[in-house]
Amino acid sequence: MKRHWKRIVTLTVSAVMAGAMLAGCSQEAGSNSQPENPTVEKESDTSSVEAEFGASPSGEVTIWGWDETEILKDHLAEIYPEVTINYVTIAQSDLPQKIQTTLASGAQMPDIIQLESTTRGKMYSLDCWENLSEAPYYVDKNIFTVDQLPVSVDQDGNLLGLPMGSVPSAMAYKRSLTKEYFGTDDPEQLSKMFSTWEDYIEKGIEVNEKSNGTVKMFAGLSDLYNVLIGQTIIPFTKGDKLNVEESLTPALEELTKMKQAGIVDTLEEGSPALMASYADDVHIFYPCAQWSPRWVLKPNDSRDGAWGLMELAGGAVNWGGGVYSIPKTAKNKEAAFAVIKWITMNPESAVPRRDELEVFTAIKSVYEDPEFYSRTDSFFGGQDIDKMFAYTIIPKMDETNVRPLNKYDVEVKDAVSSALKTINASEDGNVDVTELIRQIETDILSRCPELSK
Amino acid sequence: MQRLEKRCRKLTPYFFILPFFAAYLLFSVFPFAFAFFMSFTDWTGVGTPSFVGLGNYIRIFTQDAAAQKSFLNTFYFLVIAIPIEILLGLLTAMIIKDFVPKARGAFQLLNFLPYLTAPVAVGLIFQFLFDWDYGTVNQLLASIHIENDHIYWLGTEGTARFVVIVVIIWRLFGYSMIILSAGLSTISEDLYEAADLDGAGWFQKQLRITLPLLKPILGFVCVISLINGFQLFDDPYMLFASQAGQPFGGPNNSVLTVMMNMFQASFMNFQMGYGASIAYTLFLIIFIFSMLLTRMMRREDC
Repeated sequence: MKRHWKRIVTLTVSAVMAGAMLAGCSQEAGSNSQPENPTVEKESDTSSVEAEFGASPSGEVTIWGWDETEILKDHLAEIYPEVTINYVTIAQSDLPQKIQTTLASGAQMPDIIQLESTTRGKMYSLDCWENLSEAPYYVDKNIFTVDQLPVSVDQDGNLLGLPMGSVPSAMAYKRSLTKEYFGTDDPEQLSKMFSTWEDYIEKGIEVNEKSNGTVKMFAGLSDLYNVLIGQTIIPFTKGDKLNVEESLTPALEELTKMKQAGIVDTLEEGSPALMASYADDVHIFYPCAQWSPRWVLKPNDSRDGAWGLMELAGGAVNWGGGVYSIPKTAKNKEAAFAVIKWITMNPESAVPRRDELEVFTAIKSVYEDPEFYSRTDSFFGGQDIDKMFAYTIIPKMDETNVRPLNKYDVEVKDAVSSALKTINASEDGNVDVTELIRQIETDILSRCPELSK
Repeated sequence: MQRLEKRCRKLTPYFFILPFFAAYLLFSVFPFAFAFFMSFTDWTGVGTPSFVGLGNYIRIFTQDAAAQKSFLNTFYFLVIAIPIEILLGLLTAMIIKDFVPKARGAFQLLNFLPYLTAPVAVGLIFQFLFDWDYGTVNQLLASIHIENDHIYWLGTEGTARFVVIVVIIWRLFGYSMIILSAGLSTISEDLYEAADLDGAGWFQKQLRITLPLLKPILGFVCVISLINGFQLFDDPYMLFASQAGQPFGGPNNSVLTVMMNMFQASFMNFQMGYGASIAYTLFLIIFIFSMLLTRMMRREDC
C-alpha cells in the first residue's frame, strides 16, 4: 500500500511538473494586458493624442523589421505609456521567408511587419494583411504624398500598409571629376547639362576619349537599371499575361546603348569592387536614393566635400522604401495601429524621424513648410540635399511616374539580374535585347505556370 | 490492486521510450507524411490547400524549364566534382599516412578545415577570389601572363559552374580524407611489410592491398558523397544568392541545383506544394541511386 501511495505521489508530482513546463511554452503565458515596464506609469500629456486617435491603447506590440524604428521607442512611450514596444530586427532578405514559415506553421505573427519594396507585391498577394482603408481603420489615403500610394496598395487598390516615408532619388557625382571633364560642379548646371540619358551617352564618349577609356560615367549596370525601370510604369503583367516585353525593353535597350558607348564599367551590385569605387577617381556618377548618402556613400568614402547631388535625367524615381503592415492574425491590432498611425500619419513624428533616423515622412502636410527639410551637408560640399530631395524632386513624383507593386516583382528582378550579367559580359554591348527578353520570359514562365505570354 | 500494479509494471518500459517515439513521430514522420500530402496540393503556406493531383509532378517534367535544368546541373556537379573529391581525399589520406606519419594529425586537420568553415564564409571567400574586376585569381593569371583579359568567372555559364565545382572539391575532399584515413588505419601493417619483402612498390601496394581492403569504406564514402551531391545547396547558394543583385541560380540558372530550386519555389515564390513535389522527386532519385550503388558494391563483394 505504501509503495502504491509513493507511486501516486510520484506520478502526481511528475504531472504537475510536466504541466508547468508546458505552461511555460504557452503563448498565453504572462498576460500582456498589464504594462511590463513600471517606468511608463509616469504622467504624460496624451489628451490631444487621445482626442485625435481615440482610446489609449495598451499591451505589448511586437514589430518585425530591419531599420531603426526602435529609436522611436522613447517617443512612443511618452505618447502611449501603456504600450510596450518589442522590436525584433530581421534582415530584409530574411523577412519574407520568416513571415511565410510563421504563417505556414500557424505560429503567432507579430503585430506589425515592415515590408520592403521588391517583395511587397508578393507579400501583399498572400491574404494575410489587414486592409487599412476599411473598418475599423478607415485610413484616408489622401494624407500621404502621392508618390507613396502606388507602392502602398495591392493590385486591387486596398491599402495594406502605411508608407514609412518618401524615397526620392537623384544622381550623385564626384565634384573633382565633373569639374575636370565638364568644367563645373554646380548641381543646377549639371542637371541642365544631363537632362536626358542620351546626354550621358554623348558626354560619356567625350570622357572616354579624354581619359583614354580610364574614366567611366557609371560604375555598373544594376543601379542604372533600378532607376530606368522606376521611370516607367508599364506593368510587368496584365491580368494573367506576362508583359515584360513592353515594360522591360526600353530600360534594357538604354543599358545596351550605354554599354555599346563604353560609358559603363562592369562592377556588380553589392560587390566589394563597387563599394570600393565610391572612393576612387575613376567613376563619375552614381544613382542615389534618399537613403544612399547615409547607408552607401558615406560608409564607402570618407572625403569631405567630394560629392554633389543633381537631378536624375528622365524624371524623378521612387527607389526602395517600406511600409508598416498589420497581419490579420496579430494579437494586439488596436495598439499596433495606434503605433503605426503615429509613426506614419502624425506630423509630430516627422521631427524625430528626420533628426534621428534621417528619413523623410510621407505625410503630405509636412511638405507645406518649405524649411522643414533643410540640412547642409559638408560631405556634399555644403549642398542642402534634403531641400533638394524634399522640394525639388518629391513634387515631381506622382502616380504617373511611380511604378506600382506587382506580384511578380521578385521573379522579374531575378530574371533581369541574369540578363544584366549577359550585357555585362559582352565586351562591346552588342547584345540582342529581343533574345534577352525571350530568356526573361522563359525564366518567369517556368516559375509561374499560371502566367502566359 | 495487484493486477493494476502488474499492468503498471508492464507499461513502464513503454512509458520510458515514449518521449523518443513521440519526438520521432512529431519531428520526422509527421513532416515526412505532411510534405507528401502537400506535394499533391497548391498550398502557398497560407490558407486552405487545394488538391491538384499529380499536377505538380507533371509540371516538374513538362513545364518547368528551370526545374529540368536544376536536375541536369545537379547531375553535372555530381559526375564531375564527386569523383575528383573522393579521389583527392583518398590520395591525400594515402600520402599523409605513408609520407608524413609524424605530422599526420596536423595535415589531417589542415585538409579538414575547409569542411568546418561556415558556408557563408566560403561563399564570401570565393566571391572575393573570383571577382571579375579585383579577384585574386584574375590578378594572379594576369601577373603570370596566362590571361591578361579578366575572366568573368561568376558571370558566364561555364565559368560559374567551374567555380562551383572548385568550391565543392575544396570543401568536401577533407571530409572524404578523414573517413578514408580511419579506414586506412584498420589495414594491418603486416600486409605492407610482407609486400615490401616481396619487392612491391608504393603504387603496387596501394593497388593490391589498400584499395581492395578499403572497398567497404570507399563504398560508404561514395554513398554519402552521392547523397550530399544530390542535396547540394550551400555552395552555389552562398556564391550567388547571398549577394544582392546576383541571379538566384547563377547566370541563366547555370548553377541552380534541385535543392535551390526547391528552396526558391517554397520560400521565395510561396509555392509550398510545388516545393514539396520537387523534394519528393529528389528523394526518389536519391533512394534509387543509393540502392543501386549499394547493390552494385554487394555484388562485387560476392
